[in-house]
Parts: sequence; C-alpha cells; structure tokens
Amino acid sequence: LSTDVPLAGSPPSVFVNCPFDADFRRSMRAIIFTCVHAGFYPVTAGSSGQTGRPRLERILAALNACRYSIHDLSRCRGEGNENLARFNMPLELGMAMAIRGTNAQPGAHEYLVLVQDQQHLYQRYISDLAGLDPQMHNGTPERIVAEVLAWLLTAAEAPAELTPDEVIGKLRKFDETLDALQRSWRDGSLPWARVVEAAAKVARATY
Amino acid sequence: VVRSGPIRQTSIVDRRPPRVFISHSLADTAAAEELAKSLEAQGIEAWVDTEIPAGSRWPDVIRAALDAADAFVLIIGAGAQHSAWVRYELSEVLKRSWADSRKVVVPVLVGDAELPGYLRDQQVLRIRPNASPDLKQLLTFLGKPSEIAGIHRTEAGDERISRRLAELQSTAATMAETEGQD
Repeated sequence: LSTDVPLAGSPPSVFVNCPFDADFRRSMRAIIFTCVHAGFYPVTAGSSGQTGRPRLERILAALNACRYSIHDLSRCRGEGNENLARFNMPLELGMAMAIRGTNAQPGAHEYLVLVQDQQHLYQRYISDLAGLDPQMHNGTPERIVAEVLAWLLTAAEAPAELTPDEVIGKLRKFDETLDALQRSWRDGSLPWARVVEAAAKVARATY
Repeated sequence: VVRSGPIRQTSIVDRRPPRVFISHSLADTAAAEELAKSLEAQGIEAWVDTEIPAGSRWPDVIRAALDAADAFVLIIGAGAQHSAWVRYELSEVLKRSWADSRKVVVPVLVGDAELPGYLRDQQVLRIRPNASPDLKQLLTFLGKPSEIAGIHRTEAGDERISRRLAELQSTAATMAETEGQD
C-alpha cells in the first residue's frame, strides 16, 4: 500500500494540507521548504500514492503514516463563477484530529492549524476551533516560515535550533531551483520526491 | 533602556522585579507551583497558568504572560511532548527568543523525558519525577548571560542538521527512483 511516506526509521514525515494552486504557490513552497530544512519529510494529498485507490483512502493512509500534519485553512471564501468553497482542507484536518483523538497512544499524531489573521475571522467560518487557538499568519512567506518552524522545532525529532532568517535566506534559491526543475521535467508532472530532494539539496548548501 | 544578559541585571536596570514564565504540563503542576512560590520569595515575579482567572480567555492571558516575561523556565516532563498546550507554549517561547535574543531560557528536564529539538544544545537542569528544581541551581541558571542561557545552536547542532538533510536528500532520491519504476 504505497503512500509515498518514508518508512519508519527514516526522517520523520509531516503531512501538508494546504491549497496547491498558483495563488497559494509562494505560501505552499514556504511550508514545504521549512519542513525539509527543519529535518522533516513533507507529504501531500497529491503525493500520497499513485495507485488506483480512492483519494480519500490514500490521504487517510498518508495521515496515519505521518506523525505530524500541518493544515492551512486560510482559504475560507467561495471561488469561481459558482462561488464554491473548498471542503478538502477542513475535511483533512478533521481526519487528523480523529487520528489523534482516537489513538490510545499519546502523541500518535500531532497537528498544527494555520489561518490567516483577519480579525479572528476563523472563529466565524470554523467556530469549532474556538479555544484551540490556531496559529496565525498574514500570508507572507516570512510569517508562514516562522510559524511552521516554531512548531516543528518543538518536536523531539527536530535535529537542532534553526532560525526563520536562515530558512528565508534560502527560500528564493529553492523557488528558482524548483521552477527550473519543473520546466525541465518531461510532461510537467514532477515527482513529489524530486521536490523534496531539491529542497534538501538547497538547504544543505550552507552546511 | 539597554538590557544585557543576566536576569539579575535586568531587575537593576528596569527597577522592577524580573518576570519568569513557567511552562509545564498538567502532570508537573505541583512542581511548577512550588517553584513559583520559591521564586516569589526571592523577589522574582513568577507566572504559572494556574493563576488564570475563571472566565478569562486562556490563549490571551497566556500570550500576555509570555510577552511580559524576561525569562522562561520550561518544565519538560514525560507528557510534555504530547500536550498541544505545552507545545504551543514552547513554540511561543522560541518565537520570543528569535525576536529578542536577550531572553533567558532554562529547560528543566524531568526524568528521562525527551527535549524539544530546539533545546538540544541548551544547558539543562535535570530533576527526578515529582521533585522540584533546586532553587539555588535554578537561580544560577537564571543569572547566566543569554549568550549561554538563551536559545542557541552549537557546532554539534550544525552537524545534526547536516546529517538529517543528507538523509532527507538520499531518501527522496531513492523514492523518486522507485516512483520512476512504477
């Protein structure tokens, strides 16, 4: 049952649940690169297995295989001509919460919830999070990197302290590397593992 | 006002008692409260979350206490890694340390609990389960300059990051090749 999640004993993995469209690209790349630089293998719904299994099953398998997950619920408004809202992200957060809440082993799954700071708007569009206090950002890579990094580095598996400045300083290089890699890939479907490999290579450059 | 290093200097410059935020999990509440009393007896303002008034919004009160603190004592017991609230406080302490490198951070490790990754290069005060930190030792830690007692990384930390990134790169390359064969 392939989930494209590294096996146990490999670097710890983190499931990333956020929009993957062009409008969120900078933020998504900031999250992915921060995960890698902090020493974690990022996994996404799109990367979780290439089998014929239903998407939801693959996502559940990936979430179960990852000890950590990050959920950015910044997108809260309807989009397009039909003004439709996307439900995938809250659904995947719910799955992560259920895994944590129903697992008898403490710390079996831990998650970070991110929202954009718009006068605590999240308290209206996802009021069930009231009291859990998600971390807020303003949509800039700087704030996103700081929030994701501060959370990941509290994990025992994080190798050492790292500062947002160190990550931000290499983010542009990662962007350029990824853009070039995507252009050079044959049919445009760059394997996810190549994205992670590129991020690790850029992050390693100064060590 | 220019403040430099040790918490005892801070109190002299600011003309107010230094403020210490004590982070702990539910299991270590008694140790945290005892420690707070001991610090208060030394003229140090100590804050623990048992002081939150009923009806208050917890996150707002905790954030205000974190903002007001000159130093942080992080009691890390066996359950700390699995407590969402402790991890929230630990991440908030880290962010405040990034914003102001003069903040002193004292990890107090209970038994064989695991340290958060960002504290692995810190000097640590170790205590047995159900015990309180030795006050004299703690005051010594709190009195150290932030260059020593603040959050920092050593060469060993750089090496661990380098090894992990190499491992990630190698794992990703192997997975990419496997994917290509599917």
